[in-house]
Amino acid sequence: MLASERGYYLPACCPLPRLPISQIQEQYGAPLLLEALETFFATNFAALQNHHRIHAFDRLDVYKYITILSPPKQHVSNTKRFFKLRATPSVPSHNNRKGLSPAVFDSALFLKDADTNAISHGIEGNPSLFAYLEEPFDAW
Amino acid sequence: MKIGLQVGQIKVIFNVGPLVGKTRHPLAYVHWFRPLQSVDHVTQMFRLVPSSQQHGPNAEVIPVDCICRPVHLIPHWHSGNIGGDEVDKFLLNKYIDLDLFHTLEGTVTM
Repeated sequence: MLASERGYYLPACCPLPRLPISQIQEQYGAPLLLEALETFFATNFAALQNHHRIHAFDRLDVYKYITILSPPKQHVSNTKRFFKLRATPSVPSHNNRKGLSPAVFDSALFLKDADTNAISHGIEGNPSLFAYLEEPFDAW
Repeated sequence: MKIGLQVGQIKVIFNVGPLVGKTRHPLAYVHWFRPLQSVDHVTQMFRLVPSSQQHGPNAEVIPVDCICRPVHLIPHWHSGNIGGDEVDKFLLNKYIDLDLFHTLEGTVTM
């Protein structure tokens, strides 16, 4: 999905398909993944009474990165709105001369409440700028 | 305090299989930091501390469409942990680019 306002892009081919949840918890340092997933489904799919109960041996399709299209800004170029977010654990190298490739878990800013977020407030929402513009030029 | 925005570390990006369920968007497992409230007065950057819950990380699974943009965290060294490997305090670098500066500017409470 890639919309003009906001969006994201995942690779068409999943690099790590059908990984067991228990393995993900161990490799990615995500000890509460199973509990968090159960909470997510209980919160968002509460209407589905016969929903499949999640177990540690269930499998997930895991991606190494996601590309984000951030919200548009009036004074920021559209070409600078693409960001890549990585989430990869430490991986041993096949070459004995090389060490482990380090784990990369990027941090991000999240919209917790889309209705009250201040992302859409740009320069037009800053009253101090308008105060400057309304001053006559000969006053400078 | 920045209403509606929160910083988290993405640990896993995944899609649930057809047996587990079907979601509209892919999901991300996130370890949250505490809300953006405290500001370092020297740098004017938000202080960040990992949020904890019941002696563990405050973790949540959320859809990826909630992700706004990546952020740059600077380890906050102080006299107690200089030279240590583990850093549990960070500063949110709002000067990394114009977009993030604009997003966070005007939210600093003096």
